[in-house]
Amino acid sequence: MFAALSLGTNYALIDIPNVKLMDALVFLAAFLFGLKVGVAVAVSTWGVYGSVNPYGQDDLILLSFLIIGECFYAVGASVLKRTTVAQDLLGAKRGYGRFSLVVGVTGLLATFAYDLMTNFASWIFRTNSLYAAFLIGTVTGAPFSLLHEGSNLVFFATVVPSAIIAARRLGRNASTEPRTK
Amino acid sequence: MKTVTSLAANPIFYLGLLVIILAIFGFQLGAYSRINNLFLHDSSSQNKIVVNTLINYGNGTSTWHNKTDVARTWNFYDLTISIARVDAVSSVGVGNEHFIQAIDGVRQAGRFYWTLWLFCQKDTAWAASPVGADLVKLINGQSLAWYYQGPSSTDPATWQPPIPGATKVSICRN
Repeated sequence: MFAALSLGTNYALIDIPNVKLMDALVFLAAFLFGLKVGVAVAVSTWGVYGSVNPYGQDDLILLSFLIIGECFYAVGASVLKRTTVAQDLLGAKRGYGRFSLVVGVTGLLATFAYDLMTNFASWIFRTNSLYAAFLIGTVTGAPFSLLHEGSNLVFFATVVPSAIIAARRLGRNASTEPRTK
Repeated sequence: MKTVTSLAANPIFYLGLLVIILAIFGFQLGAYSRINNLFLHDSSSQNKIVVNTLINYGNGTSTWHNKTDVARTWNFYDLTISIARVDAVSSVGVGNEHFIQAIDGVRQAGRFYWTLWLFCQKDTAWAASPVGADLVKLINGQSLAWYYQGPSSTDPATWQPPIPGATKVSICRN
């Protein structure tokens, strides 16, 4: 379901480069259902989106980097879920605003790492040294990175925490509802 | 429900998160500001510059536009719309960049689209531009090109240079 949502929103937002809900959905899948589910969503989404794309098909090397980068969101969610900060804020009476900030920054850090790695990967076979690939990739990718990181900060600070809190409430309500035999 | 304790209640922790946000955007804005002087340097101080532009329509027809009155403040998109009929969509991205869809009626279709090239003086070779036309700052005496082609992938290494048989490099030496 998460992979289908990611693909649907990716194609719907095809005209807005680097603004995608996919990263937030991968993060959400990993936070709610575990690292394996998050990684599976990341791999399956990129498997389709990297192959069937109006801007062209990604080559295998770049696609590998994109998939690894997408897994950063799943890892970030999995790590955050285990922290006492997340547990404390989710269990607190008035911790939602602070939880949004924590999730937003976690998403931003994952996006930053993703952008650095994929921008580097775009130039790795076109320059004389790894340093040059990193430098040129970072500079030429900066406009896209800014857009990607800005939009993800907003999505991760709003959509993701709301969905996590809603899922917890739903789960709590479901577990306290009387059951019929 | 319980009250917030430990690190989650520490204001310094949230201040640290805000610093991380500022540091990341500061880093990217710093990188963005380096785009114009990463590849090309212009020591000329004239207000009007000379720029040569090749448009290769991919059907055996090529046209050179040798323009001598280009404003120094223009970018390659500004230059292109001054020498050709351009159909472009404006992106909502940073800098309101443009995606070229058609030049002089030759429109992208299937895997055919317009590729953007810079001539590297030091290498005497063509290089695919690493950035879009809006981010290409013009310099005096520079040669640039548009080439309509249908490469097998989006990787510029597979693209053909705008003049058949010309030398191609992946990036201009500074």
